[in-house]
Amino acid sequence: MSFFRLAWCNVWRQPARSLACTLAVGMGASFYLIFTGSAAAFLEQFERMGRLLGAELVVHRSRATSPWSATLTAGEVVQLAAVEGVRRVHPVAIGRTDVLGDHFFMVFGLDPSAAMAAGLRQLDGRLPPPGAQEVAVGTFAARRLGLAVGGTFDLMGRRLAVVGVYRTGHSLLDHGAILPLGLAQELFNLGDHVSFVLAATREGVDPSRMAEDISAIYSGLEATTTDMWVSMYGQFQLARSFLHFLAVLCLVVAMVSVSAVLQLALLARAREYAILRALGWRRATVGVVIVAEVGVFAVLGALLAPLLGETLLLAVGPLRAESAGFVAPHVNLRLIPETLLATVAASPLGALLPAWRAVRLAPARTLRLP
Amino acid sequence: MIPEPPSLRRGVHLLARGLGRSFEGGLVPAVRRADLEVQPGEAVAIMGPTGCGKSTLLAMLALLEPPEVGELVLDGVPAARLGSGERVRRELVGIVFQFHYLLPHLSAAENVLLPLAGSALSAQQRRERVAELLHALGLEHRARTLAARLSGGERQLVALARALVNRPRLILADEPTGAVDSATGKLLLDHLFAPAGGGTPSIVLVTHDPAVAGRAHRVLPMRDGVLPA
Repeated sequence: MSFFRLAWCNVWRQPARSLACTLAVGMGASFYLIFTGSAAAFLEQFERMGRLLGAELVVHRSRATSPWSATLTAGEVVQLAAVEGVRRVHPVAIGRTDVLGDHFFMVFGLDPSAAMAAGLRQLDGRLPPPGAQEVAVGTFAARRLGLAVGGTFDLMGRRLAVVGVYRTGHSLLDHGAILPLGLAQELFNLGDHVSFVLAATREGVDPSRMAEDISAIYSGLEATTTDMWVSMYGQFQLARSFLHFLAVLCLVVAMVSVSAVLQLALLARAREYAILRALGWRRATVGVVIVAEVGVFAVLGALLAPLLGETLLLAVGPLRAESAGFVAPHVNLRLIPETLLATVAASPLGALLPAWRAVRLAPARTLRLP
Repeated sequence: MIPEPPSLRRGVHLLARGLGRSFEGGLVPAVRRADLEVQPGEAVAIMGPTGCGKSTLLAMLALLEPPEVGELVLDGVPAARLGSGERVRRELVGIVFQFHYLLPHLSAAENVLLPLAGSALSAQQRRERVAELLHALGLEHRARTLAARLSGGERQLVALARALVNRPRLILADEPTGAVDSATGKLLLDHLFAPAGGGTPSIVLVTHDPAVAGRAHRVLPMRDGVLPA
């Protein structure tokens, strides 16, 4: 009789209790899957923005803490455009404002290229050309604010003609608006400054090498590949870390639930653990039986997690659409091994208290109880 | 640890000097003074009224309860120097309780296997040993039956098999026939005093029944927590 066999028997002796524990772990693990998947999707959103503009490089102020707090001068933009190997530059001005309760309405000032227009997933109308007093709004912003092509949008005290409704698949863009670069600079008092510059390189040029060259030539500027750029901003990292924290928290809550259920079971099993001790089982072995039992719940729960996760995502379908990709439409199958490992790694949390109480039972006294 | 005798496992020499134990911070004296010597292979029955401290004495002999006073010596080695109580019970002692205390969700064979967890025996050897005991007790056909589905007598016989499976050198039995019919009680005592697998364990038996006590080599009276030398 091995401790694992005993743990396995304990799992099956009370099917309803075990099902509840497995479902609790499964829910925790499914939330882990969803949150870690969303963290990945969150970063992918910003990578997608770079790709949308056909840019391989992002040039920004050194040691910038966020895209909208740092600025580059017009002179620096011109210098960057003249760098050998740079095919095209897209200066971008970003601003944040309040629009009808949305405190994080993002305004993107950029002069669209044909490549960018082609990169949009959907466009009704057109993008505003340089110098125009016009705006294109994201599909989610248009829906929320009741805007359509041909209408007007009062933005920061300026009445702008809505000339386009677009969808990029990028959450911030689709919840915000695109203005001509000059208009955005004016509205956000940037003068001739921009937030950052997206640069497309010529064919055959290594973007990583080019980024190193630009950073070396222009002190005060830093160039990174678009993929790297995303990971540089502490706020993005913070958001990702927060999602990971939520993911781990869900596992912890699930394990605490299992711990509570097992402590109730311990009341009924106290005499059995006392018997094992009386038969010469070590305290540690009795503890391992309980750890193994929670381990079984962890594995079963983690295996159930993709199914539960899909069900949850289906249930929050309308909300997911609003998130425009921040919440993945399906669970990320590549994250299943990580979820299984994380769930099993968290399982001792669920076993800790019941195991501690079980090994502290005094066998003789417990067996004397009526 | 007491070394294994070279021959078939013989009983242990047990010496208890002035053992005492109380509960509730000394308010409830369970065993005032117990003096006991058991020779290797000897069977000793302790008789006394309910509440005289017999079971507490047995728990102290099994190292389940530490004595507050006195000394327990096994084969000349003080119990305090024998290592953990678990190890002594695992390697040296077999306990038969008044109530069977089987794990109801395990089969009869699995219950008998429990004391062998962590033993050096191979899985095959363990199975053979369990099968041998269940066969000797006439329970081989019940080996795979869950303990919860066994009759009261069968459960107590399985509990005896569990106590004997590690071939103990000291058997401690607390009213082993108290909850079974006379036929099962006789079968149980036959196997307790002549265990399958051979060997001559020392036995300390607690009972109310003079007939059961009569199977032992010596009968000692215990009263009001005192077991005189």
